[in-house]
Amino acid sequence: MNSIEERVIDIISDKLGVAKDQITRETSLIKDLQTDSLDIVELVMDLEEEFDLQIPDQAQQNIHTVGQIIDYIEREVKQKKSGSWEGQGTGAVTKD
Amino acid sequence: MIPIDLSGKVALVTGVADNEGFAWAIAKALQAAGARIVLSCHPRVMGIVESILERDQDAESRILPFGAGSFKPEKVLPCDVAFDTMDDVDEKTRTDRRYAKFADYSIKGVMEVIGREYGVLDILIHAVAFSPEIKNPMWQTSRKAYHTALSVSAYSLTGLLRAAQPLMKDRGASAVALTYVGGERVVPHYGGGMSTAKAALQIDAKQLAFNLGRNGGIRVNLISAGPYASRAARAIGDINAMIQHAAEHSPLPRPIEAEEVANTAVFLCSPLASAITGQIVYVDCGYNIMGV
Ligand SMILES: NC(=O)c1ccc[n+]([C@@H]2O[C@H](COP(=O)([O-])OP(=O)(O)OC[C@H]3O[C@@H](n4cnc5c(N)ncnc54)[C@H](O)[C@@H]3O)[C@@H](O)[C@H]2O)c1
Repeated sequence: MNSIEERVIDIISDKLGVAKDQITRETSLIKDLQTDSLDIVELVMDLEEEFDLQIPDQAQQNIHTVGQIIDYIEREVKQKKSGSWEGQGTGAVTKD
Repeated sequence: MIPIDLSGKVALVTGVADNEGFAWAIAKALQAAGARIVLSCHPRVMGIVESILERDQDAESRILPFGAGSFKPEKVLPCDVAFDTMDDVDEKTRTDRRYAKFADYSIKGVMEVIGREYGVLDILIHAVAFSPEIKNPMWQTSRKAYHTALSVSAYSLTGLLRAAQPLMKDRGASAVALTYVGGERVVPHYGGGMSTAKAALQIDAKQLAFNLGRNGGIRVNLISAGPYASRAARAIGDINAMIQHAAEHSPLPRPIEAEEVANTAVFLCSPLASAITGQIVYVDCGYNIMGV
């Protein structure tokens, strides 16, 4: 199984039609990938399906870069595995 | 028991963009009554709609009312109702990769698919509205936004029915479009040309009821819904304050539910409403009758 980072980049590349080597952790969703709110809704739905989790609106508001998506999902997936649901859905994402 | 049986009827429902709007509730209710559902969605939301039709996360929102099973449209077609034919598409839209993946997203394209696959159309639901300046009050609305609002939110009913008439004629077919009291009276938030578009839609529906009543016996009605927190409504501004205001001032002192609009749409499309055309049915808990 690919790493979360690879899977996230795959989905973004596929959804937005951007070559994978153009996408790094620092890539900004709005500035570099020119996404609008409808693109984000689509992307979020695909990510939720891929990783079987819910990304609440509140969390989405704090996500601006590809790295922040990866961090968010890594954290949520880890929490799910360890069986601790604490913090799930609180939308706490560190800002850079 | 009086039956509402739309078994085998072909219904085109426009304006689904998520599982919260009126169109979603109407499509589900029509299917629960037996209709075969074709959705047409703005090209930009096709991926979203396909996801909500498939994802486990959205399974609950697909449960049909009346224990009628699970929502499953037979087709989901892309359609930007600003375009009657693909010749109308401007260069910028045509080359946008998010549109370019669809060969045809015009009204004509949708009717061609329905003609080819079904040969007929019994029900047409118009649940589309858009203004690029919805947040601007009327006096600060640009000419361009005003024209867009009219084109997408009002003319589209004429465009759709013009293209659909050959499929709908002489079979007791029916169209229902959604309107809002903001097209008749001043609702301060309802700017960007949307109030004009609803006023236009309302007289258009009456004209079309006459034209198409005489050309194929097609009925055309409107549902004027009370305020409801759909995605489009949340973009307007303080929709919750509007909902609360309506609830406090209506004969039935509560908000409306999308299912209530959906049930009315099913009735209007059914043979039980066979003498009703050119009407506005207010599904608003009675709000519109009040003077204060
Ligand atoms: N929500 C309310 O308070 C309320 C009240 C009365 C009437 N209405 C009417 O109900 C109808 C449905 O709205 P809703 O509130 O369910 O919101 P909604 O956002 O779910 O529906 C609006 C739809 O219009 C579609 N759309 C916009 N531009 C389009 C275009 N160019 N081509 C094709 N589709 C396009 C959007 O994709 C969306 O699906 C609208 O006509 C609206 O004016 C809403």
